[in-house]
Amino acid sequence: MRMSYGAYLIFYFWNLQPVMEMLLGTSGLVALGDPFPQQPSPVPTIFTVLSDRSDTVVWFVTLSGMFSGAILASGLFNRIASLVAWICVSSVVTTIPSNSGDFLVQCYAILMVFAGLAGHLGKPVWQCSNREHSAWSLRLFQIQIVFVYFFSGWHKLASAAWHNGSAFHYVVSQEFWSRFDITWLASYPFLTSAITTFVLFFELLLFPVLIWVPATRRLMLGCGLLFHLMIFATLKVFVFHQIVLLFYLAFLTPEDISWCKNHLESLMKKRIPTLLNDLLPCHK
Amino acid sequence: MYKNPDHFDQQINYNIVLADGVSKKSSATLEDSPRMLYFLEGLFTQNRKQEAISYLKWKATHLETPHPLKSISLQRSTLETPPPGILRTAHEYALQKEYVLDFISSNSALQQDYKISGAPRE
Repeated sequence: MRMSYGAYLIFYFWNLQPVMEMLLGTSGLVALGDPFPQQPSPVPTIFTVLSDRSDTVVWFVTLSGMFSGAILASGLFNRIASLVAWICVSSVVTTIPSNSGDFLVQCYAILMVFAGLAGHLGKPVWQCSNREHSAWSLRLFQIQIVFVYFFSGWHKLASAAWHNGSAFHYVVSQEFWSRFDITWLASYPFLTSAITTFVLFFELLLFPVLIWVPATRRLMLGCGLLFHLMIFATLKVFVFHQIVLLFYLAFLTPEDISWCKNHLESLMKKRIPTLLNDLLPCHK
Repeated sequence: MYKNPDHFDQQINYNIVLADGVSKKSSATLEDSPRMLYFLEGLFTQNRKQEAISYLKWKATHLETPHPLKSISLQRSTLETPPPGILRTAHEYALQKEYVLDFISSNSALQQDYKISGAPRE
């Protein structure tokens, strides 16, 4: 989890840099001096402390975030790295146009601080350590994502479109938010209604309950993975799906990781020789 | 966004008019990232006129044009989505709201004053 989150932070901050520069750069919206209402932050951020109109500060936040991610991924100085990452993430999320995905990234950063300060983030990869840690920090991640799903489903119930099964019909009809044309799905009301109902079931009941049952845990993780990958592939929802999949890592056991690793290794061993054999005649 | 999906599709476009009268329309969907689209959509849905004008000023300073800008606008057009099982009757996007920033050039080549126009057209 630590390594994945650290690697993700590098990608996250790099993608945010243009938006931060547009808002808070030397010639950004705040610097233009017009009444650009910044979203007021409840706590001091790097931008409020240093400057909210400087390319240097924007790059400082970007590179600090990326560097803290790299240090987290490596496993060195976990306590400090998780703190720096949290400061950078909080500075950014409370300043830029952010969505629920960004707030989840902030939640993840906070939970990483708790785990880091408790010494639960492990050691660098090259220092093999079989030391067992208390489960409480992992449980926080697990409970967080279960709550996210449940209350997301709960709030959806307040909407008539989700209630009557038409929500997905309107979602696929929005070309503005689609990566490619999926409006043809709206011609199949039965299908869109079924997907709408499945999403509600998954968020309200299936994941929050069955994820805790050992026999169905892998199935729920697999369903969730497929669900989020499909949405990511078809819709322009940013950040949310990536960070949710990082939360899924909290449910993986060492046996799951070994299973995935063995499966991948056997797949690579079978596929690579076949691919090479297919390619060789072409080169000849 | 998906807790209560909109019952319409939208397009957000930039409309640039140069001093020589040439106008160019471009789609924000093609130019901008999803996060920027979210920001632009928020300018319209939350009626953030001042922020929209500030953004257009910033956008104008980052455009490379062969001639000075006469005006730049941000337009939002919508197309209603009929309920499931009902055929769509309208096929054209209708302009719903627009923020316009006009540039008035003075005698000095270095000075440009801004005239903020474009009370949002509903």
